[in-house]
Amino acid sequence: MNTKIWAFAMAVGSPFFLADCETAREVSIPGFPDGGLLRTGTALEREQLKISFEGMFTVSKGNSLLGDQASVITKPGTVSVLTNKNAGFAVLGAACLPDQRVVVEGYWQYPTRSDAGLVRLFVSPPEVAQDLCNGEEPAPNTNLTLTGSYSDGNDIPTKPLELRWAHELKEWRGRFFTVANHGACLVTDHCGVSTNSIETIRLAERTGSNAIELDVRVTRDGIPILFHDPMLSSSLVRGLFCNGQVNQLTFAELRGSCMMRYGEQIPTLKAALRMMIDETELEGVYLDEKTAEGVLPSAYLVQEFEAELKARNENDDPSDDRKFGMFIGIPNDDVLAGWHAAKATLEAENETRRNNGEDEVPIPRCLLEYDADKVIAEECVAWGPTWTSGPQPENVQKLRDVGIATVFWTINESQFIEGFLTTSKPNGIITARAATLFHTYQLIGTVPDPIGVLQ
Amino acid sequence: MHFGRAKFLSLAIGLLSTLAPDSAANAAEAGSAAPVASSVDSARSVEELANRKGFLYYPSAPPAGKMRFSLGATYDAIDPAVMYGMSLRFPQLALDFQDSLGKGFLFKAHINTMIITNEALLGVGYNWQGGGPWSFGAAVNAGVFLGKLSGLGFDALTIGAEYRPELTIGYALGDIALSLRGSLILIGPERARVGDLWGGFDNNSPFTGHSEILYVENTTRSGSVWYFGAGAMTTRAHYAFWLLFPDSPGLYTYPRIVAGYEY
Repeated sequence: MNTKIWAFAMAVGSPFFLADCETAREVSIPGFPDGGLLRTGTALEREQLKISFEGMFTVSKGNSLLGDQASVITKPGTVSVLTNKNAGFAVLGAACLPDQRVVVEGYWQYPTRSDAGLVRLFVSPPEVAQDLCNGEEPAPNTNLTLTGSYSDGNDIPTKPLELRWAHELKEWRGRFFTVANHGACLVTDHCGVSTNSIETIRLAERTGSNAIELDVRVTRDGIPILFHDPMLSSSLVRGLFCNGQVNQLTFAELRGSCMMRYGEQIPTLKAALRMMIDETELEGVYLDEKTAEGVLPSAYLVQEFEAELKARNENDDPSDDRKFGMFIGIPNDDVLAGWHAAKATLEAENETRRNNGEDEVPIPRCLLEYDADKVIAEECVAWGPTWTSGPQPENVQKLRDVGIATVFWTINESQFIEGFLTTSKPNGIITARAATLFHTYQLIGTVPDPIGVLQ
Repeated sequence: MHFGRAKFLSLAIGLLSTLAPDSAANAAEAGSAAPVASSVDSARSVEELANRKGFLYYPSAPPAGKMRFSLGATYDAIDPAVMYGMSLRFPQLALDFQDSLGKGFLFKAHINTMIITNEALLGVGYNWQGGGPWSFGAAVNAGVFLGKLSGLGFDALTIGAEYRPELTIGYALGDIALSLRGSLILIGPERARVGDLWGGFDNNSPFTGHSEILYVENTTRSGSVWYFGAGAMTTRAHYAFWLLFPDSPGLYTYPRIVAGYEY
């Protein structure tokens, strides 16, 4: 073969090899090199965080980082500062130091960029810090200030940052759902966690979500797992032998061959539900069933966990009470057919139970994505329309009138988040920009009437 | 991102290029880097055609009033993860028009459409042909980036002003013209509508991406040209697939293949 022809062929082919480059930047979540001051202190209790820190804060210094206002919420072990500036958030820990100061420190990030840095704040006035160190739960007032500094990257914080408590947050728990879109961030973001992983569920809660949407597929041996695509796309997973279709591999083969983008294991649905119930304060999960085959095994798991929650909530020990809603998501007619088949199976099993004198097991609740009238016909409890059809306020109201909630998916653009919040006043929105949604809801949202979805 | 499929495509194109044009072999036999008259009857030399009707991609300076039309197709192999798991991607139809204004200046028009995604650009360019096989071109284009879909869960429209400066370097190889074109893709301001609700995008920066495409234009005896090419697109996900408006400012590289016919 003539060498010029080969050169020509290589020239044509070379762009494809250029395109083979890994374009996602390495993600490095900043951290204090010595563990920070938190290491030397005593972590505050859950109720202290919840009662003493939550609220709308005015940003008196550091507006270029957070804007003029920021919502502060708390989760087990963390204080989160949420803004609508570049979907930014800060995840912080809080501890009482030996000198009776209370430090609140951690990292901030703009997830759509690679911008991140460290934050170190102190609680003032000193009397509030002292009360916290004494184990009390002082209610916040306008004197409460978080004063300190922030940095870029892993630099020691030196840029001034100050947040002043302004007022209480609008009611959201059990009322408005900031639903994480298969995790805290998009595949294309820089959060350092993979979508549909256990780790992203944890981060989603810390970035402002109180519910989560997860993608469900089943392996060849019928195990429901969390995975978005039908194929083992190299953007989602890694592994030398991690190829092919998800439903062509057994769970053991999948676990043996694949890890997720950032090194996590592909979780089973069961493990994810267990983690959310036991280790988070998330209020619900929307299982986006990607195939009809996944509906029945998902429904069995929902029944299993609902039975457990019922037992916990009905026993004499209020300390283990837990409200957590689980909904089977129906995105298309194929999955709807799977839902009908699953319901028929579950109802037949209940028939057997009735004949044996046993208690029936409730059929799981459903969320239908595409047709408002079908939501009513199928007796689902929620409608999940795509945002690309617009706010549809008439349909939202029509369903609200019959006690059905509306949760739009997936709105990430702040102007449209504002538009949907004010036009349709939905019960929730699925988003990959939980900080933006939560903070925008706090600023301009209307608290939806309780709709019984979680009851 | 990894594109195993892209590697396969590159090999396929490479093999194709070894099989398809006898002209390539002729060009190779010609050996010289200088533009030469065609050594076969079936095709005209690049130099001859450059001075008669010109080429769409190879920088050429035909006499004033000489026009070229082109009909082609473009296919982007975009990672499904960037497209939110939507794995189906259709080729785009590409229409081009070029009118020589003389002395190397050109008027250009370009449309590419996938029905729901469209770009329409008008531009002016200047081409310089040296005495040897090398030639150079520069152009600026401006127009509109438009997407619209009603149905399939969409009632959505996105529209933006688009600007596309580009530089091209060409090399004549007998009756084959090789051209490497680099383009800068700038879009803004940009607006979108869903239902009755209008809004803009977060992270909206005019810099949308860039492309580097190698075009291979093959002359024929009639003076028409058939071409193909391949290259790398590096763009925001939003440009690659507007329908769901992903707002990430990150840039993603994916292969583009093109083919068409110039009249």
